[in-house]
Amino acid sequence: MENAPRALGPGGGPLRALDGAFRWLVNVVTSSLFRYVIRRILWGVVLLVIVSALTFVIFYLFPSADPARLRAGRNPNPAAIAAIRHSLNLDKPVYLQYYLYMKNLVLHFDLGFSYYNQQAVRTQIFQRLPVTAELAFGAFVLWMLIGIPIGIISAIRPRSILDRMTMSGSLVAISAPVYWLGLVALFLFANDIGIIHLFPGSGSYVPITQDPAGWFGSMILPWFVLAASFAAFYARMVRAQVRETMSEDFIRTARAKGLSERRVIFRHGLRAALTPVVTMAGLDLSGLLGGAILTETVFNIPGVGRYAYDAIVNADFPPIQGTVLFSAFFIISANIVVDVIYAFLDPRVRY
Amino acid sequence: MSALLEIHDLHVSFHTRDGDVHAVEGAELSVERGSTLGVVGESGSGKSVTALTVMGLTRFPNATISGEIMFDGTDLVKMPNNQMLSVRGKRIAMIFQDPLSSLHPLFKIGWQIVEAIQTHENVSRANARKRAIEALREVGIPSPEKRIDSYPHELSGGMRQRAMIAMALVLKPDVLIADEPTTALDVTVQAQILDLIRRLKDEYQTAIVMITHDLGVIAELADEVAVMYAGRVMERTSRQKLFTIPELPYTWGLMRSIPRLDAPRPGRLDSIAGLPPSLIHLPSGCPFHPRCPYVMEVCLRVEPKLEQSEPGHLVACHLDVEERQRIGRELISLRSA
Repeated sequence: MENAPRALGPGGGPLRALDGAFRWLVNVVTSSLFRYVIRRILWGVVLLVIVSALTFVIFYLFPSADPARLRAGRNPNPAAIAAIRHSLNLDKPVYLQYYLYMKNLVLHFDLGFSYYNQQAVRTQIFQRLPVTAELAFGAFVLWMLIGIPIGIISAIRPRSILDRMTMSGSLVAISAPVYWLGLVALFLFANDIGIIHLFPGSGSYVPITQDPAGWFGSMILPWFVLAASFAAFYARMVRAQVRETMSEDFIRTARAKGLSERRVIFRHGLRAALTPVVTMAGLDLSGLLGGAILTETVFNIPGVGRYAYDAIVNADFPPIQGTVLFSAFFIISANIVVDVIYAFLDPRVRY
Repeated sequence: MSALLEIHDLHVSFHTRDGDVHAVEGAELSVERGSTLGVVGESGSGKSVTALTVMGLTRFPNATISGEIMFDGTDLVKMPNNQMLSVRGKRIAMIFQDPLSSLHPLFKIGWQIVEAIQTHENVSRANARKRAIEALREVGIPSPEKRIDSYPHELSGGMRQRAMIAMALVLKPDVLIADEPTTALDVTVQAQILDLIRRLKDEYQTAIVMITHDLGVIAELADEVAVMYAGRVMERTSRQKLFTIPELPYTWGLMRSIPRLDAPRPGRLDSIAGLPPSLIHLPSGCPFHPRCPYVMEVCLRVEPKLEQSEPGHLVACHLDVEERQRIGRELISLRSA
């Protein structure tokens, strides 16, 4: 440390700062966490390649319909179909198609064009991502705000009336499929078909920039429907976590120190019990960012999930591949982020 | 003069689906300032439940607690929960068997000690931290100003138990209850920890309740000894008497089951036949009678009371006093021969 500035020569003020930054950089790069993250990112890329190849293989091994025939309209003649097939590169061998697709993706970040309406997949996905994000984040906030407090309260008061009610209620919410729940919600509360005209129904989505109030109203039912099963699942998970934690030896120690029960639960208990929930929440949120297919379809929300649904119905391969890749990208990234966060939350975890 | 902590006719039972578990049945214990009470017994003999009840940590909705726990003139059994908070940790502290699971894994040990200080005393963080470092130094943790920022998993088992002890003793409690503090540790470390507890007791005049199943620990540390079985105190005397004339068949069993290095190796280790009794369906009469080699007809019907056999020696057994002393002496002379 003594001779470092001297080595940089006299008057090395800025140089010394640069030197410090350099040392910091060296420390970061040589840290085990950094190496771990790099390794995980490389594996993530490999995983994405595998996912893309699998999607390709699945699409061509189990064709739902012939894209060229779908494009050709009514009473197509073979020549027209062949022309379309040629223009979409569908006449080339599968491995060559895959190569061309990956080449465009890697060199130009080009996800191709829809067979169905020629729109660029990348543009479509980027346009729809914010909508899906609005849906996912809103639902995320809701289910965390509902699930975690319920889980904590029923863990602290096991077998109480509230515990019994919420835990049996959560079983119902977990078992109810989203598309059924969505339709029931619309049937009960939508302002067009609902029994009680309360909230805007299916297809009422407007961008937040156009009409914030209208946007908020249109998102209420989708948020609740999407959050319902998650909230129920989180309530049960948090309850189990808290109950298990509260029987740990270190909780007994905390009590033996003379801490108030409130502090024992909230400082000592929840700190340990909720740490795994953070991991779970990150993964679940990222899973939804790839598109909440059922909710977006039931409520006709123009997000990535709706896009994927339409693509599947139309055997429109490029959007399918594009949405699958985006979905995989979110999940893989979230996995890495969550693992890094966990290292900060739990000092026992080392890489 | 009455003792600092005196437990009189303590009963603790827990209502469960399978029936009432009578964990403690009429326990009689006492400990003076600056002395050590060893409580010895098998698992399920009620020694830990007794300790936790002193701390007020068995006040579950399904628990029934009766009797007296006189601590410095007040009855802890009747003390309301909010007052109990200022006794617990401050005046009566407790350390546990496994220091790894007993320390919070996600907080630094310094944080945990500072929390204990700030719960009971109105001191600044910096001050509390200084005292925490001092406490760590006191219990023999090297370079405590660095170790204070360690997480429990970064310390060895012995160091963790030292940190636990530092946390318990930092507020200079009147009573320290140690629930098998050496059971989870290496033998060499065990001796160090026992030494440490003895030294701190002498220094601060703390009363120690040492709960153990290990007669070796008793021989090492205890001034007075209570032998518990099935929630009852069956023999109470000084350490010196216990190791010269033990008078209880159960104590004899415990002593015989200590393996010896100098004697020819027996075919199998001596042990007490049978299992500790179910605390839901206790045997009639003396709870030890199904396992007692000296069982008599009266033992099946009448539960023996804890009675004085000679000054300073209380025993609950139907055997004739002279007979008991003869067998006890014989056993000791056999084992020390």
